[in-house]
Amino acid sequence: MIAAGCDVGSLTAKAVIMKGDVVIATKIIRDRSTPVESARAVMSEALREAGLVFQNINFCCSTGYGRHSIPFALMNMSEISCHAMGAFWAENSIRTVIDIGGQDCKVISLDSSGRVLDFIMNDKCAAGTGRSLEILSKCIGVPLEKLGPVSLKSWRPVLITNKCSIFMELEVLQHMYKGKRTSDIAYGINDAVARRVVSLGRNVDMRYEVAITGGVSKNVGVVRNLEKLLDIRFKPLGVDPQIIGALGAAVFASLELKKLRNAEVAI
Amino acid sequence: MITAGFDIGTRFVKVCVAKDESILGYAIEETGKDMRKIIRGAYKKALERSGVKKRSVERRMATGYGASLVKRANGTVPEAPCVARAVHVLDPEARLAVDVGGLFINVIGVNPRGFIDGALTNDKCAAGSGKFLEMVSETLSVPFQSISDMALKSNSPYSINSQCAVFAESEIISQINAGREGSDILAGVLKSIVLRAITLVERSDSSGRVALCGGISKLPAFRVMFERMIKDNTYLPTVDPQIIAAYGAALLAGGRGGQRKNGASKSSAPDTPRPAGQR
Repeated sequence: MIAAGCDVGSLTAKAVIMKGDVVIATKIIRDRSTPVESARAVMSEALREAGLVFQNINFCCSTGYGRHSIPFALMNMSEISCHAMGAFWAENSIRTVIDIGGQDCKVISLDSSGRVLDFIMNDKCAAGTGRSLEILSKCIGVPLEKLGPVSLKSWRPVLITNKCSIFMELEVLQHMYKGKRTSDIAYGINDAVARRVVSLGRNVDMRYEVAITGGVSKNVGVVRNLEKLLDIRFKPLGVDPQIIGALGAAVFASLELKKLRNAEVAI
Repeated sequence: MITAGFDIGTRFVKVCVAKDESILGYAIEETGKDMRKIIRGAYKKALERSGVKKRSVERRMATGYGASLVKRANGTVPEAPCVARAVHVLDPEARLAVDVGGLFINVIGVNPRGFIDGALTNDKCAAGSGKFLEMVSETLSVPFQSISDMALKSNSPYSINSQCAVFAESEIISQINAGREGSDILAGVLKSIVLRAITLVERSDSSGRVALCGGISKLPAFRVMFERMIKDNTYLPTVDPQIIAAYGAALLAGGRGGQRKNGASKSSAPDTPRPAGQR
């Protein structure tokens, strides 16, 4: 039985294909012009990786901001449930998930069966999301994926105090004019983003174990700063943190498949 | 006394050379990577235009976001007192100055003697600032001069849903891709700036004539929208509204602005307040 999860985010689209309880293919692509097109593209690439075709999918669940318009998805779940379920499936001791995506940021608290207890989300302001990292890294001329490693070399970090991404950009430029080292500014950027996330998460009860998901969790600098600020260690999940949402969707799809099969057996 | 005022903003460097209360010449330059050089260039240009030798400028005062970059300044002043002073000199009846610039909107109360009477600014978040306009005009490749004409043509301004300026950028781009008229988007952007300014005006409790200044108020479309939404009379300075703060800095450089021939009001206030910002 093939279950698929498709997560169409603001910057990237992710797909996960599961056979029974095993992940057989995952794929991440940059967004196309419409959510439908992105979903089609990412799913067909994932299917090619698994050596399957569209007709093989028994059940597909979609998530992400474009989830309502995916034609081949039979159901959709919110990103919050999917991130919670995906992280819980990967590591069942997880009770808190911090998800930092391209355009939003959320802190989710779960119970011992992977259900969402409480969450808080910021999708109104770009500060503390991947978007602000992208803008600021462009500003100092460091590629986004290098921002983490570069910041680790810093030994006299700058402090970025503004809360708004656009004002942060100005502040970064001022540091550049002053001739600060790129690594020190990179540290400041990661620190500023981490501080925004921490102040968001203050209203949610954070219990162990804590996992970090979403594209920004690939930035070592942000992750280390978060660990320092929250005084915790993140539990490694063993899967690419960027696909957790899609993974959760696939898990929901396979649960739905099991339910359907049990119903058939009962008949 | 010949003085010079430097206003180092987020988008433009403004330098104004003044003799007592009259403007001799001014220059506006876009900001860039090498700020020192740009400031020097703008100063030189302003001096040339006013026909004044550099050494005859007695005092220099700097204001704005990058005020500390002006090395030769005798001191730095916040923007609010500069704008208040300049607006007061240009129109003593104005009680509120609305300064709409590239990133910051300042709403400054001006008391009858030309001192600041409370100031508000959007210092936490760039939502609804001039940055929106810059992004859109860049994406639509509309030069600054024709923004106003285009915006005035629109019948159904598109109102932007996103709060955050960063998200608004992507929203605007997707609207352009979806084929929405550039004029509707521009009008919507101007409206969001006006709304932001109006909220700040409403939060300040002063009433009376409102002076519009800052680069954005050069746009007739902005003024039309602003005037439609505000109950008080507005006043547009007779000089270039973009250099108001630089002019104010030049005025403040000339000394204690509060001692203008205002004998009557002075006697009523025994404790003469120090001009705000002068250290």
